[in-house]
Amino acid sequence: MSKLNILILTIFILLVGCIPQIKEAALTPAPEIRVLLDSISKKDSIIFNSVYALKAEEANYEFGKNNRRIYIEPLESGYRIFNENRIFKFTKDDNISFKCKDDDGFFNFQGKRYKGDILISLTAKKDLDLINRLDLENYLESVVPVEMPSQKSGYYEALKAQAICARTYAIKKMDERKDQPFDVYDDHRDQVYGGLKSQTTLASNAVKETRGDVMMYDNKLADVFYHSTSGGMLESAENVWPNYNQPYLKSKQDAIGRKFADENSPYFRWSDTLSIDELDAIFNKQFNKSFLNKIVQDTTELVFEAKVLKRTSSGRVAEMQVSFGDTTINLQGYEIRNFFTVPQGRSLPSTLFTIKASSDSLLVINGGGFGHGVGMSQFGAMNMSEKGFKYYDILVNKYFIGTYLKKVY
Amino acid sequence: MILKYLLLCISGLLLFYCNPKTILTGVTHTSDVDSVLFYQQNPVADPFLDGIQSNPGNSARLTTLLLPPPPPPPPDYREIEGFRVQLFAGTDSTSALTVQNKVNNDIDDPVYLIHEGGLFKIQVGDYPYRIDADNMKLTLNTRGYDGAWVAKRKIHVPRDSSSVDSSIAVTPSPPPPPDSEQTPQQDIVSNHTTDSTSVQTSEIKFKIQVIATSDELKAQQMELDLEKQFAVDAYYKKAGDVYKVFIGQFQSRPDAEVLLKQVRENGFPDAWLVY
Repeated sequence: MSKLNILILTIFILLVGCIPQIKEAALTPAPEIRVLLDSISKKDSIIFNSVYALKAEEANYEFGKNNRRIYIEPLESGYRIFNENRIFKFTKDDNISFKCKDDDGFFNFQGKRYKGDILISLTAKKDLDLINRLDLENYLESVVPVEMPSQKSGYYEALKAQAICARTYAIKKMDERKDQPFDVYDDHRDQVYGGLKSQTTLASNAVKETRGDVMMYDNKLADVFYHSTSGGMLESAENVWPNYNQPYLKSKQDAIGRKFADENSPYFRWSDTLSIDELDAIFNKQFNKSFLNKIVQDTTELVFEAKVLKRTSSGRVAEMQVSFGDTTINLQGYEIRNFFTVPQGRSLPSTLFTIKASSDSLLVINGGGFGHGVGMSQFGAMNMSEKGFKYYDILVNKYFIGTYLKKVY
Repeated sequence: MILKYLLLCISGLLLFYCNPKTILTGVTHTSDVDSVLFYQQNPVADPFLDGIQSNPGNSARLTTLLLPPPPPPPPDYREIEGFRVQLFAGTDSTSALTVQNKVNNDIDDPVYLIHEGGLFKIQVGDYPYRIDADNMKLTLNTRGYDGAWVAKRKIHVPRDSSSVDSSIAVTPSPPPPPDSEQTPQQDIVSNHTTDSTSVQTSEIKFKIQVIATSDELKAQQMELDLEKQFAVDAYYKKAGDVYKVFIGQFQSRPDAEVLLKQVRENGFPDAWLVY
């Protein structure tokens, strides 16, 4: 009987020890990031969904109780903010802010919902900068689901890796641009920020679980790059941006076992064809010269020739020469992708390609991958995540070998 | 004893559901592979990537032939002396175009916009015979073009002249002799030298119009008088509301002009040559 008592006691102790810590530990506050939502040149409006306080020189005003919409408009020498009841005029040197008084409050701007405060200031070009200032972790919850698919729970580890990349990038930008009016753009110039509506549970959990985690190298924040699909071959950073030369961003095969990491990506291998008419249209657009429509006196041979002059260490085309009729041009790096834009308006997915003429009038470009190929392949990370690899394997042991993770808050 | 096992089962279940990780993330993820450090021994073989490495400087050449444009087609008309109805002359090309568009809608005959002598002119039709031009002028007058007048000038007629002359009643040409070794061209030449009035239809180019009248009886009378007076075939033809009286059928202008001179000098000073 005493044995049974001891057993029950042990089980009870075990059960008590297992009660999950629902109570949230006091979190170190995350820094605030300033995201430029738009630079407006004409009247626009904001709709407040909770109470926002405007701090002006003489007094505090509260918005969002009765009149939820306010208008903002740049003027010749300053700007104004008004609704049906009030007009506020500001000079070009005034920087104002609407501070959200409710933790769950949000505002609508240009069809998207945003958490946090609003900063407004006039630029040198007399446009109004509308900046969203919010907690960095909240920002990441609206970035990660836009940058990577988050509809499959198998992508969870990849989303965590993406969250760490996005956080590292954002903190680096916040440091670089601390004297500027804002830290990051809300689009591809930095990271795409989709607002509250873009958030998903899985991506938010990935951000929360990696709260404060960043990638470091040599006691500094690591240079973080990522792209959609490597096509089996990662690129060295210095081949794309000469200023970035890091030992953890070197060209190498992107393989897991005997297979390429992102071979499930739709862009792992691709093929584009351009007819001589379409090439003529490209030249016509860029140089205003159409060779096919030129009127000749005698039968003339028109030659299009494309030559790869230089490849990077990963095999991507670094420089190529294109000649057509009497025009010869040299293209480098990203120009190459832009130049061979297919008629549907899409440029080449990557510079990892070979060219060949399939007939006298058809140029075939066979390629692999999507994006610059530096850093983490998102499709590779998603594949690893589905296979059961953890986020630190994806980052530290696969795509950024030599870096380490650190909690900064 | 039973209680003991029951308790053990309950506590086991509780422990399983208490997994704090499941509660926090909401993700029940069972991994196929635990986290492992992965070292790749050999590069993965791939025809695409290997092809790039083995042939880095690849190139492509496309060629096409540019052909000169075909020469412009020869005009499908020839120019002859004739008449047109002029509706407009002015220095303003826009007004001329407006008139042209309006007339184009009103009538079926060709409408020309001509730029000559610094003026933009709108002229209607190609009429070898003045009477046709006059008729058109009247038609246009009734439709509100008051300033229309008939101008004598070069006109366009189809290159195949048969359509001009098709209205002319001619005797069918005799079939060539079966034993003839001559080419049709030589045949015509011989015909011409022997008898200028029995020329083949397609070769009749010139004839003389003596008069145009609305009275058929007068035209019949005139036909008989002319044949009697000049001993050359005369005939009349209905053209619209009028009857035109012609004399002679010639291949060449000089032949026709000989007769024209005679006709003019003998009571018909208004006679004129038509093609």
